[in-house]
Amino acid sequence: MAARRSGSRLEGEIERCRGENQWERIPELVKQLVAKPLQLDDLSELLLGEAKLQQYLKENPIKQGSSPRGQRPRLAEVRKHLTAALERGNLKPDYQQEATLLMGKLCYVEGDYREALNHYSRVNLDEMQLVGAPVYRLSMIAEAYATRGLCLEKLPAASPSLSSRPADRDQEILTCYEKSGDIALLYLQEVEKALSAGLQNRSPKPGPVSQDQELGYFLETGLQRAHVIHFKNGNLTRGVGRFREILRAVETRTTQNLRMTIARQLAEILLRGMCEQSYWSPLEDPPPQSPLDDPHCPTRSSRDYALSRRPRVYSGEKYDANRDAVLSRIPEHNADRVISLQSASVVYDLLTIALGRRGQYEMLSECLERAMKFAFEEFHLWYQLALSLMAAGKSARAVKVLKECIRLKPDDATIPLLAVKLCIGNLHWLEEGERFAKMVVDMEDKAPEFRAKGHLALGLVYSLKATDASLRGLQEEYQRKALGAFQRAQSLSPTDHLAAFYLALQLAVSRQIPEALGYVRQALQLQGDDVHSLHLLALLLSAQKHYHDALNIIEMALSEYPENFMLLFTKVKLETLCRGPEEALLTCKHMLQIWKSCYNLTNPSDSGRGSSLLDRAIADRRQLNTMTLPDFSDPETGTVSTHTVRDSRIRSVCSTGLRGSFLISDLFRPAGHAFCDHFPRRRPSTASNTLCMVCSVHATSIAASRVEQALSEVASSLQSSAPKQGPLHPWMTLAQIWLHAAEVYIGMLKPAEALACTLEAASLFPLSHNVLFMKGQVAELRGNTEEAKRWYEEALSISPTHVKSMQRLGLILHQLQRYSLAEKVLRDAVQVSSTAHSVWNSLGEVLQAQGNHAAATECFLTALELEASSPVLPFTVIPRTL
Amino acid sequence: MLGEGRGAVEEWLSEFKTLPESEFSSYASTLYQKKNLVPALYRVIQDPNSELLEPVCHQLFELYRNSDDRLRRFTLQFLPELVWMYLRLTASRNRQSNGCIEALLLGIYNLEIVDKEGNSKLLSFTIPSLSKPSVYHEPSSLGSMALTEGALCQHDLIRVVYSGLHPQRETFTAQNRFEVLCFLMLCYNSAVVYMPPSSYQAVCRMSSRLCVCGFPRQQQKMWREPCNRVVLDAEFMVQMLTAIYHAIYNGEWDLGREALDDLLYRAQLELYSEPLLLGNAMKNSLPDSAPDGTRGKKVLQVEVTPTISRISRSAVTDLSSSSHTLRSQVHIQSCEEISTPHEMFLFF
Repeated sequence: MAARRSGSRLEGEIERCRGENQWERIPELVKQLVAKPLQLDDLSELLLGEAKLQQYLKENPIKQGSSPRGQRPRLAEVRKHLTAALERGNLKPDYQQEATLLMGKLCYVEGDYREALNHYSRVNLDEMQLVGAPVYRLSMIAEAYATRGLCLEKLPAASPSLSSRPADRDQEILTCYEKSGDIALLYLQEVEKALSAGLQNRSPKPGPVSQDQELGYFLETGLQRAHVIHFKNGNLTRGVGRFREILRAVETRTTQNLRMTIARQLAEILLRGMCEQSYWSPLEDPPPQSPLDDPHCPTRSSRDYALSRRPRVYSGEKYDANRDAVLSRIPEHNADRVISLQSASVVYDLLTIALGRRGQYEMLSECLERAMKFAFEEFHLWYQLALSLMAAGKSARAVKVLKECIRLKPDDATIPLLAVKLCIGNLHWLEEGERFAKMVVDMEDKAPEFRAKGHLALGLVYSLKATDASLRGLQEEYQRKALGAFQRAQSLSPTDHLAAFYLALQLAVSRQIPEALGYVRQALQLQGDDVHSLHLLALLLSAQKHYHDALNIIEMALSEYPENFMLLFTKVKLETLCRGPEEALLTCKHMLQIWKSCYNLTNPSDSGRGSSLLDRAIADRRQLNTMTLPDFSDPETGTVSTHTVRDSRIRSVCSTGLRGSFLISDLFRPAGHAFCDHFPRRRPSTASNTLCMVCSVHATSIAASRVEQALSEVASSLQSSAPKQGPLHPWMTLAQIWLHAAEVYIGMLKPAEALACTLEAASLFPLSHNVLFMKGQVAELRGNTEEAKRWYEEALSISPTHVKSMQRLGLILHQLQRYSLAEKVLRDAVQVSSTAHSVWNSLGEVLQAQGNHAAATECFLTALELEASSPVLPFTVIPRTL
Repeated sequence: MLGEGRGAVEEWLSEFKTLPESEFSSYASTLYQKKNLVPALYRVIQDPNSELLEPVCHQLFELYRNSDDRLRRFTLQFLPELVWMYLRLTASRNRQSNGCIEALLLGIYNLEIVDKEGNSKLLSFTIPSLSKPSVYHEPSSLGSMALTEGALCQHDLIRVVYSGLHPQRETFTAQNRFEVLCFLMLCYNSAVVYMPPSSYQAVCRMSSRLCVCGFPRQQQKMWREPCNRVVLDAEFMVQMLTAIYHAIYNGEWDLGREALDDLLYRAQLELYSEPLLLGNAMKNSLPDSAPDGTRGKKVLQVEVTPTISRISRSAVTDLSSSSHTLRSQVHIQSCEEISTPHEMFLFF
């Protein structure tokens, strides 16, 4: 078979083997070649020499930074072959050059750099033809340039063969590497092309399987050394430029790993060494003078070297420049082929840094979630995932992941603390929270500030449990435990204002007003402008009936937090008491204005905070008026838009508000969509928590507010995939504002206006127990006892423990002389909230009417006592979070 | 205050006033040559009782109003120190001596939130969409690892707004404080490359101090001045981290790492997930060893890395299920189908 092969065919086969690095096949082919009656002795020497050298290098790869090998018997053999090939001078010029280049390479491997350079100086590398050259020769030239660069670097500066100035020399080295890299890329592209062409031509015989190309030391050096030198010299501009040149080359399979490495390195450089103002896109020219470049190494304007052929580059017109973009691609590459956990985690860290500083936690959490395939028993990745989920507001998942983190690293107090924070936040998983908090408390050897945090967390869990508990004994038990935990926290960390503040709050809830005042003052000394401490101080003062002082405190707090609705609600209450309802109504009006400016103004910007403009565009198209769903619709909702407000006063309240998009019905038109969609993270955390608390002073009313929430979530899920936390709260705020206004009107005995306000709230949350309760109040004011009773009953069917509804219902039943039922309702109410003085009072009245005077007296006394320490709003409106 | 420093400041105060507009840019270059001016200005800013503080703040604002980038950056380099002084005095409730620093900070903020035409700025950046299938999360649907035109087209670019439409602020309140400061730090970070080493030191110092003052950890520091705890906002901490990260790699290895540790300590106590997330990532990806000749040396270097590690890849293939093997076969095939280069665009 071999004999039948024609000479040219054989040569072609040899060329292919050289191109595909199949050195082990060369000796056999050379034998066939020698058998031919052709004058190819010298060529076969060359081929054998090359094959043996390459084989040697394949078996003994040179490591980066390793020292030269010196003479080896196998290398001596190579030298013999090559010398034989060269000395007769019978070779064709091309082969002559090749032999010389191989000689140079051999000399380098043996550590004789000067001799290697001498060989290279015999061949004019720059004039070697790249066009139409066989594939293997491209590789050879690329290697030759790289080797030359390596030799130049190794040799001391004063080398005779080189130009004298060190700067020129450095430049020459760089040029060598850059050329080597370019030609190497070209070579790889050609190999790929040849390979695919070859595979298509040949039948799928089981012949030599095309392996992935291995680059080898010289080509790798050629591809990477240039930018390494740039960065070493502190020349970021050119280093980045070189990175981009390599990345722009058309990709081959062999370069994929290289590309990954380089993309990662580029990302590192961009993140660590650049900023927005110093960044330039690949389409622009680099800045002439850049602070990125080390001033001590003056950049010399770009070196344009000519290559007869350049690697193909991607030549699209539309380069979009962004540094973060390059990063987001890397994990994709990396993830598909795990080089190692190490580099994967480095890439994810870089991605975290890039996305985190732009607030893209949502996207980050998705990316990290996909990283979890590397994360088996790997604490760092689990922890990062948990944190990103937390930052993205995905609390429930975050807690689950945190559990795994705790398993992996049981002695870190921060992890369970984070879990408690989530549990007592909007998840309201108090049992789990308690377990996590106990974990922290049990870690005895921690620093006091962390242990204090643990006790604080435990106290908060107990405090919330106390609020939730429906049995009085249990309530008191939890309150005691909470108080103990807070005291412990406070003594462990006396400079923490939160410990003092929550201790004060817990004391206030148990109506130990003077003690509470002491601690809240302490908290304020530590943190003068803490909004919750100020609020608590005001409520405590109002409990002592110092309404004017309380109002002053609130106004002072409002000067620091002008848009805090929680403070404003308290202000309305206090103003009604000390300055009359007119003032309170003005505050309501002011609140409407603030609401409008807050959520109107922030609308375009906040949309970018959590999600993208694209999401917004989608939201645009969907409509909000689907909110009046059949299940939730209220007979009156339809008429809201048409109702007219007769009284001039309410018109003055609403007039500013009703302008523009403020009419509630308007808000549901597509144009008004934008408000509810995206909200900056900051705002809900203050205003919204408040509202949850306002709406849900008690346990079951949390369930009721969940109904509200569910309802609105249906609405919001209809319009977009916006973060779940955001959309609700502004609407709940608005409803609360209307309800407060309604309450003020009821206090002024103006049922029509009160009803109008209530209906505004009802159009937002028709099934809210607060709205239903307010409707009952209005009906009562109008003397429609039956209607009022019906509303209260409806409110209680949604929120069975709504104390105010119970109290009013009890009174109505009392009026209707259904004493025993009234007594039952009121007793239930007292069970739910033992500190509601008005309920005690009503109960007393009912008992009195029943002739049970002793018990009635008891009730009146309790009511009296409680009233003396009752704040204008329950202390529990103040959020309890970590 | 030292006499010579004071002299430099006074000279600086007087000479800009008399400067005609045409000489601003040449003045900018001389400004950076005055070696003892910057330390003297730091001393003025650090001393709330200095009578020079008010004219200095005023002058810094004048420079910032200038259209010359170098003059603006001259002011910007003091931002960390100014923020530190402001927050510290706020925590100690010593408001009156704070006035001119507050005014300067608000002035810079109000200048920065609008563009040249006076419209509100909208800062955005581009990322490839993750909603489309990619090699990364749905490799099977894409088939090939190669960067083909098709593969890139599937990467929709999303423009994401990360900051914008901030309202003008007349005064600081507890409520808007960190909104303003975050934005100021964002501005600082967007020009951080142009800042001198003294500013990197200041930003590390500021971060460390803000994070530990009033906490038990302050006892371990050289700096023991009694001070109340300063409230910090999670987003502000993220901005501080960004600046620290830059400082670490650009000459302030030791100070930067100390600041990073202090910030993580504080983030743990505050239970803020965002700074913890970023800080952990930064700490985890730090090079193992300090650079040689630490101070002032950039650590931005790369190494020639072997690009192929055969063992791990074959290990992956061996370990993975048959579906993985299938996928890699698919992958090879589709690679071979790509024979011609594609016109395409890249993202960098």
